Amino acid sequence: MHMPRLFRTTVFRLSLMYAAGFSLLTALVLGGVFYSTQSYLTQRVIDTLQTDLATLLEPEDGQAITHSSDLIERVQELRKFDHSRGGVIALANREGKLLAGNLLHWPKGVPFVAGVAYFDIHDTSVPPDLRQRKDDFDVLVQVQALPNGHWVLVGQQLADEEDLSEYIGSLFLFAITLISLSAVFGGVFMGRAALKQIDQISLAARRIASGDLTERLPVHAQRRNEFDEIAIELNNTLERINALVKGMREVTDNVAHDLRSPLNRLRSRLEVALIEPQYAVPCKQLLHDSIDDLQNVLSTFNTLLSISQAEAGIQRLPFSPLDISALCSDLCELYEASAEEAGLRLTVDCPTPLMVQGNRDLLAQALSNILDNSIKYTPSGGTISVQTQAINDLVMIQICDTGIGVPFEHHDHIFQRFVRLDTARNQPGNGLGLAQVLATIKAHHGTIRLLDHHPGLCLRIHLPLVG
Amino acid sequence: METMKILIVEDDSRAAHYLTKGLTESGHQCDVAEDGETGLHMAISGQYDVLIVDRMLPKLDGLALVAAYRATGRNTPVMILSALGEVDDRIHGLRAGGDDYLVKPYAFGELLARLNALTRRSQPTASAELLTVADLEIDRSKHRVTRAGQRILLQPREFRLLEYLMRHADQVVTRTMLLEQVWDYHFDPQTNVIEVHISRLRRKIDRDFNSPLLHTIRGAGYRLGVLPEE
Repeated sequence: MHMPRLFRTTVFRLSLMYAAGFSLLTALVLGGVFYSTQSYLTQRVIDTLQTDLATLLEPEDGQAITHSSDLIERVQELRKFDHSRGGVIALANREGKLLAGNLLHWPKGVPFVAGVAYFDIHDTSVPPDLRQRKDDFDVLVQVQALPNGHWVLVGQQLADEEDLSEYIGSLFLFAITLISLSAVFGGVFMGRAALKQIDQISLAARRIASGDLTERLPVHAQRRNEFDEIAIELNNTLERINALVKGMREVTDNVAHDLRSPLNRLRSRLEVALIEPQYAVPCKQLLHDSIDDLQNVLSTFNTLLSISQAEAGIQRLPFSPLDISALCSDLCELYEASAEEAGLRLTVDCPTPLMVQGNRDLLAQALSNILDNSIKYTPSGGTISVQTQAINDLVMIQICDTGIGVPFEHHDHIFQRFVRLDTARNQPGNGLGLAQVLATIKAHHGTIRLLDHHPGLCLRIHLPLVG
Repeated sequence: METMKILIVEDDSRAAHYLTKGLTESGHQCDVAEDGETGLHMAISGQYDVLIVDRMLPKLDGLALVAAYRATGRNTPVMILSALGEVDDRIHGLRAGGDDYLVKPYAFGELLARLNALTRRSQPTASAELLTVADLEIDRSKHRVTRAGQRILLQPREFRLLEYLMRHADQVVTRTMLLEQVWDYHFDPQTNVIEVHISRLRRKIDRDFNSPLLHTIRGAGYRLGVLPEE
């Protein structure tokens, strides 16, 4: 059996639960109020009756009434007086025989016991003309035994009091019904509103799942409720996923493109070698060239692999404290010969030891990629400077050259894999160097920025300083 | 070049076949074990000059094999091969008792050069004060280099480079080996930085003399020594 969707929503169920809870609570509170109102009213009647009794039995000139005849007289007087406000009064002898009062006989439902008792208005003891109204109500009586063995009874018809109670009771019932109903309808209404938003979101999600990563979940700009918050978060996630997927697609395309040419070259070289009749002679050269090409392909793959490792397995890399200034100086010593060969001056300004948490080989690879680039793209006679310094809790590594630089509009995307600017096409390289730098720096919780050096380029790396 | 007796522990039979073929061509003698347990038994019972152990092996993992082998007190050099190029792998491999670590795919020349260096390293002559190749001589304690009695001044790093080359005289030494041993770096520079240092060194030790001693071996690396007669 299928419940309608609405009844399965959390909002609806919650509203229903709250409705039940609140109705119960309201019923308890109103019931309490009703009960105490009723007992208050009863108590007031009892008080009045007791006053009446006291008045009836009041001693005359300091003498308690002892003669039945006097009491009967008093009852007869009081009877006339009480008649208008629905009062009943009766005096009975020891045997229960009525001596005086406005009742026809002692009421059957009232026992000869001192205290409070009730009897029905339709009791045969009540003469019809005494009844306040025709309908059904009770009479409240106070019974007292007299010293001479007689019994006296004063009472009050409760027509007005019961009316009031009934009125209050129905009022309360109406209130409870109203509260419960509005809670249920509120639940239905809110559940439907929530369902409507969820439907919109799942519709968009279905479109995304079917492959349209540019689709976004609907967000209500002014409303900004929790669904909108979730939608905004999911949209941000989608944005990132979209960028990653796009990047992945570009990388795949580029890998295919970049590997095709050396592999193609390899293939045709081997084919030509097969055709050539005297292939034994150039064979060695040919094999060397083929191995060189394969080596390029392999190192491209290795670099790609190490980039994705740096990007994915940040936690897995073994990090230890190392002096980045020493590493820079050391690397510059390694590259100094290459720079000199290219007619460049390589200056190092790394005076103070600066500790960072990192992997020496990865950082060395990244910095060497930058130095490689600087040497490649700086014309003879230029200068490359490497500098480290501490700025607050960061280490700044700055590598500047006086080379051809990078136009501002390319500053962001030269860090992507396989991106090579037109000015770099005639230089050897696979377009992975800076991507590797970025991945490494990110794995070290650092940042990298490009700055114009007029002429040339500055790369500014910030890494967290340790200790 | 002296013949080495080599044990190859490798489960990929085609890779083992090529390796055997290449090493036999180079004048060495090879045995192959296809799983870790057999490899360990053969290594303990046979007399080998060097072991080549793949990391991923059936029955007994390569690193466990090396550790167990070392536990028997043997110090035969071990070369560990791995298909994983992760940074910490090399450290694990060396910690387990390997002497060198090579990541697949590797160039055969690289492997051969490293094997030669490994067996040479295990010989005691490596600690000699005075190293001589033809008329080139270095005194390690005095940091003094002479060729044909003539003093040659070298930078500290150039001295270490030459020292390493002389300790491995007549062996092919690859660029990666130099970067690792002389500069203590384990990464792959995009341009050939080592080449420049070699040509600088060559200028100092070879230019003013008749017979060149420092040779470039195409596709492999460098060799210090008198060129063999062809």
